[in-house]
Amino acid sequence: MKKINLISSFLRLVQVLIVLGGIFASIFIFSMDNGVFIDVGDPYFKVKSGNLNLSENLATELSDLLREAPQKSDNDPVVFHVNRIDMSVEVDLPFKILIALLILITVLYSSLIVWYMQKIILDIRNNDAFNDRNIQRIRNIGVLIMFAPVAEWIMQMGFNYWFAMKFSFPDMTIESTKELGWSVFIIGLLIYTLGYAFTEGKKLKEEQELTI
Amino acid sequence: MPIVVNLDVMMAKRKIRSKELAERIGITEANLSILKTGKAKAIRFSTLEALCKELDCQPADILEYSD
Repeated sequence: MKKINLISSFLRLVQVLIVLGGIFASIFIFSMDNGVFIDVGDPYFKVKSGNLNLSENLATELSDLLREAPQKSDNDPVVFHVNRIDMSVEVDLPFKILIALLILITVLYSSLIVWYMQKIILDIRNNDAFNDRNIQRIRNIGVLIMFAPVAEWIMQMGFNYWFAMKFSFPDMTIESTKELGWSVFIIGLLIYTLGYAFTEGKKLKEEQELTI
Repeated sequence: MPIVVNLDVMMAKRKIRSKELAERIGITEANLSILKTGKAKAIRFSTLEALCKELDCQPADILEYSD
């Protein structure tokens, strides 16, 4: 029971940190002056081109950032492996609102998972772990965790599309190497499956209670 | 359920109340009620033994199989 109490206390702390983090992040975003640029991190992009002249021009101009891939023949496209892309976006009101919305979604998503976990732990402490409510909560946690990498992948694809539209050149394509977070998806699936184990646990518990 | 519990019949024959019987065999009155009404899923041998001892009867006097 001590470990359960520790986990419960930890979850309460996490809940507080999630909400505080969301509040501070929102305050930070809205306190920024309009017109400044902020870095958005380095996405995973690969630049491809079939035009050798374009490749050579880019290699000359961006020699510090790019290195040429070995060419198999004159007709093969040249692939640039970009070590780092720094992106900056201008801060304006629509951008702030978008970021605040994303922060809100993240806080709600995380808070929901933590809240479900707290309720499950509360029932465990009351010796009532195997009930319909907890079965549903575990399944919901599994679905939410499975959904996270899918949502992230969809958002990344949207961003890649926008990026390709903004930075398109003749004979050049920009491809993303971002992949679906399979490990997180499988963990979510495992948690969802645990819901079925809890269903069996509930049946056993009922049988035990009705054994005189 | 095919297994019929005739506990109330035996209790009436021996003139013993639920509360007293429950105390003597060491189960709660609620559990005894579950047994009497046929809602129980299973009965332990130890409970059956205690019932037979208190009611001075055989298991067949308490449990009956009927299609």
